[in-house]
Amino acid sequence: MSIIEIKNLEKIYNENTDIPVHAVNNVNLSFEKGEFAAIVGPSGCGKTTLLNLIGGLDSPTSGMISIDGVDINTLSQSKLTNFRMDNIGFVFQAYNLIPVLTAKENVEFIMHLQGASKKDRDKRAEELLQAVGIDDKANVRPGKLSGGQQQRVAVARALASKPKFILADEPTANLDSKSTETLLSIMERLNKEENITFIFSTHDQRVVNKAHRLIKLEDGKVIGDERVIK
Amino acid sequence: MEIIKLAWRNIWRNKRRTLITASSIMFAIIFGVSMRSVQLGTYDRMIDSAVRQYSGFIQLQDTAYWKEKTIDDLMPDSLALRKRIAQIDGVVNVLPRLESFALISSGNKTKGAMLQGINPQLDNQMTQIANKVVKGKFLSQDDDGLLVSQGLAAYLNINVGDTIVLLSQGYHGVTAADVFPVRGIVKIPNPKLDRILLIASLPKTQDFYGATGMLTSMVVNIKERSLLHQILPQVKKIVKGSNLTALSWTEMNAELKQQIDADNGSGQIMLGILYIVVFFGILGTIIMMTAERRKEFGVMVALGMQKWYLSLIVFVETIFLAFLGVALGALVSFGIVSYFYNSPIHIGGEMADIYEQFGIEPILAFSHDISIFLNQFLIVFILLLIAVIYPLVKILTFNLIDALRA
Repeated sequence: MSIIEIKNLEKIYNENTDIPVHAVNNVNLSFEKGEFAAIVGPSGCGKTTLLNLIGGLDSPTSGMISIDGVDINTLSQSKLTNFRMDNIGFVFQAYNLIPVLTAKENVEFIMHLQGASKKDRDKRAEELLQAVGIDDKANVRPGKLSGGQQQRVAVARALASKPKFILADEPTANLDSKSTETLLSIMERLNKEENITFIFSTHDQRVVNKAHRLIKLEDGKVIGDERVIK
Repeated sequence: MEIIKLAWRNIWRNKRRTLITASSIMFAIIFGVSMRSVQLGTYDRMIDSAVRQYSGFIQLQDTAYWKEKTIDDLMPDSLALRKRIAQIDGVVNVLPRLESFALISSGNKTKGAMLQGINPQLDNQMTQIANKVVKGKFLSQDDDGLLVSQGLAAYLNINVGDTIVLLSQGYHGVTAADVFPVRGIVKIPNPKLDRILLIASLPKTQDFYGATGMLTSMVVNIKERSLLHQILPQVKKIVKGSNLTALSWTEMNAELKQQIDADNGSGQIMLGILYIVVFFGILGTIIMMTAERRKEFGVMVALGMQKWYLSLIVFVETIFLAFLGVALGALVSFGIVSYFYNSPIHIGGEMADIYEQFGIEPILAFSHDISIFLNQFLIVFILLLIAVIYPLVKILTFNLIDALRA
């Protein structure tokens, strides 16, 4: 069963000007539970915009996005914020950890917003940091972690709320080869062992090589959608 | 946590900026408290020297005397009336006085002076005048001599033991002329009075003016100035229907009151300007703090933090900043005010002359009234509450995608 249904999705910038930009143009897609999918294409093809729309960070000009049967465009801002918190994990290109919190506190952050008890937060944060192999840096602030370490904390944070899927926007763009390899292995393992759904936007061939599904975008349109047998 | 922890850590993410902002609040508090303290302290001293040392806070006078100020409009001394007023809660005692102008002559010098006839014992309870005798001795109850204010004594070159001649118009046209031995020289805190005042016992003064049993005023000596508004109506009630008028110190010293009000007003304008400068300093910091964390705010909301919760964190950060600045400011200003309260600044040189020309004692006295501190703290908190509106509005209205792209 699809956890994400996208129908006739459009995002047009500068709509009321002489040169409207179709960042996302009539996209129809669906994602199943446990997918490890990559949205690929050249810079400016609309990858990030599509991810932002799926993540409820941006609103479409037209079309529908349904997550687990909920049309997210019908939700108020406040409800959409709660919906994101409970259902979607985010991994950003620039990590975007909260600089004044330690690695563990960053992972606990969303659980705190969800109202989890301290005991539960501690236990899950420790488990997740262990899962991404950075439990030895639990009490270190982001400023003292390398880019790869920060991105691993970001993955742990994204998993903390037990989301239905994780959106990762160019997660390896700022990482060196070794860190990229480590991060991808962790995500692949989480996908295989715990059936966690990952949707990436990327133009990094190393990520593309790991993906089980490749969605090709060009000028905001889906020009290819193929499943890769691994 | 989390609000408190996040807010506390956030204000220390840029230590230098936090310290500069807290310092600006601290200096605002120090300047504000010191300025108000010296203003109110000086007013208290002015009132003390002009009112407590002379007119008192409440006087009873014949209505005609209050209007015309002639010695023909005296009031009879009434022990019964004095006792009745003295029974009012907060009244220490009631002082009978007779005062008028007289020409004083010593050697070949002559000057207009004011002769004040007092009950030495009662008056001393209010004015502590005996402590201000710098030469000679204080008056006995029925003394036939007088005290000469220091400035006047210096002008006329009078010394203790000298005899002076006074000449004036007495009650209902009699000629008043007599010789008075000088018992002592007294330092009057009010510079204007110090140049003209003569103090004699009431019986001797009544005898001089030919006004036995008559007074120009009864001074109601009250425990504290703050009790004036409770006591005055009761005194007015007692004399209602008679030809006596109960006057407050502000009516009797209208010039002093105006002078204080004008100075107070200009002081408050200065404080206002100071706080406007501080306000924009704080606002600048808050705008910077908000602008540089725009992306972070976007991430927090993207992850699921409600905007109102984020606003609360920023609000708590501002409160922390305020507390930090106010606490430091309170500590330093309390030290400064306490020191100068115990050791007021004595002004010298030309500035002292200017003060004296205006009849003001050349001393910068400090007040340590707690309301001065509380008012400044309150003003700073209100300013911060106004300044925090900017980031709150920004947070509540920012566009998520724009913030994430920042």
